[in-house]
Amino acid sequence: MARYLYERVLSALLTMFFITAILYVLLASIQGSALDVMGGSGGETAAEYESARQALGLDLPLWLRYAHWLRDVLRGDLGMSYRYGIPVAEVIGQRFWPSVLLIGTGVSFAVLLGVPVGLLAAYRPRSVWDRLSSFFALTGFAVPRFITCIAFIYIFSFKLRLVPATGMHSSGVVSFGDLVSHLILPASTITFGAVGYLIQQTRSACLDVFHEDYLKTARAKGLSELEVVLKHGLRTALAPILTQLMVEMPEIVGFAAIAEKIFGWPGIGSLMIEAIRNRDIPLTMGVTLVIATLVLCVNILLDIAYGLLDPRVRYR
Amino acid sequence: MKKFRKSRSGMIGLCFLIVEALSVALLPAIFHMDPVSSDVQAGFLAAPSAAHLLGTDGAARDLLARTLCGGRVSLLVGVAAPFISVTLGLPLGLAAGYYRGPAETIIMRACDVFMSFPSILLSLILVSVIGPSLGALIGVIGVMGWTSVAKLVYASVLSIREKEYIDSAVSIGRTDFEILRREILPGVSSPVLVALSLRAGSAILQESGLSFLGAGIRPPQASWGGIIYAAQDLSVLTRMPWVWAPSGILIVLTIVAFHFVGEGLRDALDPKMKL
Repeated sequence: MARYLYERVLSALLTMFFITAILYVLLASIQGSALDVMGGSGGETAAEYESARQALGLDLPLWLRYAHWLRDVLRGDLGMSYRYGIPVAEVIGQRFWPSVLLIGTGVSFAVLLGVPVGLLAAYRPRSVWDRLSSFFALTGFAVPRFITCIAFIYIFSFKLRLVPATGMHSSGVVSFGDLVSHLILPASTITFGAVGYLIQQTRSACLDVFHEDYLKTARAKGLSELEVVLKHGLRTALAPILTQLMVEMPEIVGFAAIAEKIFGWPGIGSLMIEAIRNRDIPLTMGVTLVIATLVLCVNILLDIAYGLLDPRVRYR
Repeated sequence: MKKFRKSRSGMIGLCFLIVEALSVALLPAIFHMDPVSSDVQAGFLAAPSAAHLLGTDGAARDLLARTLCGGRVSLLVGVAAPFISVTLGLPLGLAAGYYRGPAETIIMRACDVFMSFPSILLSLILVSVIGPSLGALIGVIGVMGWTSVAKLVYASVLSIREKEYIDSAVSIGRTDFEILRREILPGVSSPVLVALSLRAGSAILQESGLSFLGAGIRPPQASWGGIIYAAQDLSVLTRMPWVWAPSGILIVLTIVAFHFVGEGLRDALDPKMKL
């Protein structure tokens, strides 16, 4: 297990290096630098423009700029945001927890909803649950995330007036109930987007397991049907479900970025979209680093869970 | 193909796509519809009327014409981008699965790197680098799709290369290239064909997402995602569903149709195939 984890962490670090290097090069090649987007008074001379470029370090060769960035990151310094003029870490700090809250809530509900429905669909093929599962599987990949968000705002916030549509707090109100009422809609769009794949994966994993002989053995031993399905069936099926969650994680984060933007939720995803538009390289790189770390940490955690579930992985 | 005709949802999907393709290609020309010029007299964001069957958008342009022309963009991306994904992913997947060793490590690790970052954010950056245009969209979405094709081909090759007819081909002295072309390629062609139609759906999904974020097709050129962009304004979203609902429904229907065709193809070619 220790060796296995060590390898996972090492490969995660390598992946992070490549992602940040690729993104740095790409960001630097976007036409129009941060200076052009920020704009000036219009009366600057070429010399002033050049000194502003030098102040941002934009005159150095690309590989050197990446090396400097990497060196600073390893020292714990993410640099200054071009746009906001304050340290990147500070900007991200304000937007990090709202994202974790949003994605955590959305994914938790997707698991709580998707696993039981998928299990029932596999247990009773062609039942209502089975139809429900194929319906959600279809909507899961056929409905673009931004359309889900818009439709949810239209139906639940405007037509039914159940919950507020945008923002994280009503102005001037700081209460737990208020936060929850703002969280419901964006989190449920994330659940809606992720649940289809989960149901589908749970269903097919359980279908595979339900045909195994050891379930017959368990029944023959006289275990109750519930024990057979949950202890022997679901436990084995959980491993492929976790794998699916790992594969989906980056896409869920990408979807959360769109949801954050539409719902005006102050998270890192919408921050990244903004930062790309503003050509704010340090901020984009900072968010990239955070998102990549988040995804890889979740994957390593799921890997550990995988090992706990399936002893064959542990002793490999 | 006979088997495909038996798949009811596959045929419905195919018919829908054909009707849709013909409508977006021909209707604007037949009825002389103009997606770019403003009809100020009709008003901005006007409700549907006899003159403008779907109303007008924020610049008083006819939404029916824009929806039809937006369909051209989506269908074009949906058809063209997957071919780029296959052009890149097929040889890489073949190489990784057949040669194993360093080729496998490098190619599959590259897959992991690509897949560990949200593709929408990566595409957003790529489109910003190239500059937004139809060609850029097709290119970026096509390139971003290489990982799923490569993984699929890789997995099929791994199972094919263990077959005895590969051993026999090696024993009679066939070169690697001949084995790849004559023995392995036919085996991976059905999954690739199915992947083409399934990728089409996700290409349209991504195109609409990018256009919605303002990084795809830029106005005055029309695209479904771009039309729905107007719904970021809360008053358009809540009071003027005619602006965004038709495009939204069409995106979903088109993706579902491509998916049904893909499933029909899969069932016709190999029901046991896992995709």
